[in-house]
Amino acid sequence: MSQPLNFYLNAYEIRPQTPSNPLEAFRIALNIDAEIGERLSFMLKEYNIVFHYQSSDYFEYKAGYYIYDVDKWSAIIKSSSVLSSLKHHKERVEAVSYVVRGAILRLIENKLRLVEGLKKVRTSIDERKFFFSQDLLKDKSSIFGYYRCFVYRVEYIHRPAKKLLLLILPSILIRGKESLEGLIEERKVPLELLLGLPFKTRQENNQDTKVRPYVGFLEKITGDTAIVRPAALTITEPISVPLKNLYAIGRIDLYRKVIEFLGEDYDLLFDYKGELTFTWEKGRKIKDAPLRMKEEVENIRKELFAKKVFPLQLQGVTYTLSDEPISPEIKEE
Amino acid sequence: MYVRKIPTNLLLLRVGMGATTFFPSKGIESAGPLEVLNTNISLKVICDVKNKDKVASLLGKIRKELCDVFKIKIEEETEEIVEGSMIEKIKDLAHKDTRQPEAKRPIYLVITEKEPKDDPGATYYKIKEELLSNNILSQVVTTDTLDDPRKMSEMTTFRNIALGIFVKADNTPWYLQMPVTLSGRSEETLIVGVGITSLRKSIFSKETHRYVGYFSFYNSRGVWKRLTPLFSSIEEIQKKIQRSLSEGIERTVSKEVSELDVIIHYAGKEVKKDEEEIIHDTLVQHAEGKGIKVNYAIVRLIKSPVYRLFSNHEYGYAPMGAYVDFENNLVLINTTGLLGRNTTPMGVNTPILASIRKTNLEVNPNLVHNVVYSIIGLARMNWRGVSAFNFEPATTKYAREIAYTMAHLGEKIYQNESTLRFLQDKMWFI
Repeated sequence: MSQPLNFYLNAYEIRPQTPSNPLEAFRIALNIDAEIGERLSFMLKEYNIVFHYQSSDYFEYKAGYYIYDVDKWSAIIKSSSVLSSLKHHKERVEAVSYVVRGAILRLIENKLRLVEGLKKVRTSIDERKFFFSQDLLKDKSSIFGYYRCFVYRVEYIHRPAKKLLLLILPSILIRGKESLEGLIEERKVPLELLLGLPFKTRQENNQDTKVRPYVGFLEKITGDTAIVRPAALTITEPISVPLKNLYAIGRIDLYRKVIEFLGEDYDLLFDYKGELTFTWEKGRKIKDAPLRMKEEVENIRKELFAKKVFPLQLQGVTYTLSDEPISPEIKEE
Repeated sequence: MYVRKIPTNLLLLRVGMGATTFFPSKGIESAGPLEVLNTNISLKVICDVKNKDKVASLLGKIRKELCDVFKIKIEEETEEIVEGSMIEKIKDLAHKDTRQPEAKRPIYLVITEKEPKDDPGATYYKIKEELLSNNILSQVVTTDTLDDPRKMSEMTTFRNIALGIFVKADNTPWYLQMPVTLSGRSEETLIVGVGITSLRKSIFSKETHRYVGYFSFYNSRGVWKRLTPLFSSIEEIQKKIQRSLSEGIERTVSKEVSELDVIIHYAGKEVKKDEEEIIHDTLVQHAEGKGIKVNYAIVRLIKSPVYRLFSNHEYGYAPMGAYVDFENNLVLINTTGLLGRNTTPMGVNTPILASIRKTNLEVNPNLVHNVVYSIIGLARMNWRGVSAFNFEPATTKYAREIAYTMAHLGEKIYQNESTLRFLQDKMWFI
């Protein structure tokens, strides 16, 4: 007899040891002047404050910045007349609630930043991406580096019971290792193989965080400058970028001719990408791809989150992580 | 939070001779396509001189697929070998072809080098611009297909190209066996795909300069009916959204209908909160103006959620049609996955996270089920390929392609009634 169907998510439960203990937070409403809002965001980031940004009213919670580092924040705003003039509403927040997600996301991030060999690569409001700094390709490619990586996110569900979930999505990060300058000047890649290809801007010591990296298609080269067309619908004219600031992006199929020119094994790179993305191996589909991904999710949970992140402390509440993935209940037709 | 599943029989597609199938490729092979309106087409093949030799084998196989599987004949076939600029040659040929009546113009089969489609300056968009502005349809094949022995040995490669040509000739390969509904009581259902892309002043600024977008209308069987293009300044966007949507509804829905269901899909963050309000207002006004009842749901599709759904199936796949209802207007949907003994062709399938943003009906398990079916159904109605596994619904699938092509065509299309009508009535974007 076949076994009944069960479902699993790539998610684990984050549980407070004493769920009845509430948290205290300052809530700053969102109806503030844009300039003050910018100042507030800057200060929250600058002092690494544990907070949650709630864009609209949700369940019993009102929109606003929920600041959980109550004491630290109280001290900070004493020196800022602008921030101290903002109305700080004192809120009692349930340990398992929608407006605690951002706080836990940040607490996890703080711990992951301390893990040796792990680097943060991207931040959005609701999720974070980290990668392991060991290049899995080692010396097999001079243009690309392959790195094990994962995205995590904290979610909240309301029914059948209130729960906080930690979602983990493993993947690989493919990064350009050699700049366009290196490809042209040191590796002597002919220009005709590079024209039309996408390159991403990267400055190793980028102080100006306001200029976000972008992808452009190489149109021409003049001296040590590349002219690129942005890969977006804008009305911008082509942009000049120093050759040393441009790197190949992860779509290795587009660079096949360049890889082959350099005498490197394109098929090896292609196959390895398939394996690490749970897609194909040796030119064939990976039959048990979901099982392999599920196993990698479990490895990341065990190696990192269980050993180096949890238990987490937020005010008087200790959060732990479940061992088993979330299995939603099935409702029959 | 719980899991439900769209019953497998709702995933069936209707093909020719009254037959149904889960697998379009097999279905049309054994029973033929659903409806052939144009049995004869003209084809004009254009390729660079260096690819000349490779094209013969490609053409032979496409011809065979069109004739044997899709039951249409190539009435006239011409080959143009290009030695200089492909765009110049196309411009020249298109100009000559405009002397023929629109219905007699050939479909161009253009062989080009592979380029990233997210490059707004790609030759692909220039070809489309040139041909569409002359009311000519085209099918583009890239040389990486011709150079890949694996692709050239697979029947699916040629069947997909033949399908593109077949569909562009106004024919219908398959549709949903079970119609989509929202309320369960309306006489007609319209599924509308919306894409609104903001044109920024530069990639360094967040400031929007203008908008380019579309409303694409599908009937309850998932068959595409028409597209209304949208170009707008920031100031006029409300008015333009209203006009595009109401014009599309007006021209797609039958006059006699007294209760209409409208399900609107959009992807990512393309439609903002106030634009959702405009859509709502337009639907209310349409209902009042026509004296009919309109039930609607506006659904945002998130295409790269962090969630994955697994099962205890031997390889871990969850079935196609399984969905997790988070009971807060959010649903995680397996649009692909396990179907019979078959699974998603490559890797772990990505589910779609759907957010029911606005509706004038009660959000209950039935409504969620109907919204989910609209998404899975429209994913099954992607006529770009014969695969049974399409992650994204046809309503949102072509947003980038439409936006990029339209940006090339520019707002001058409003001055050319004939081109505007062509863009609205023909499935040029597939």
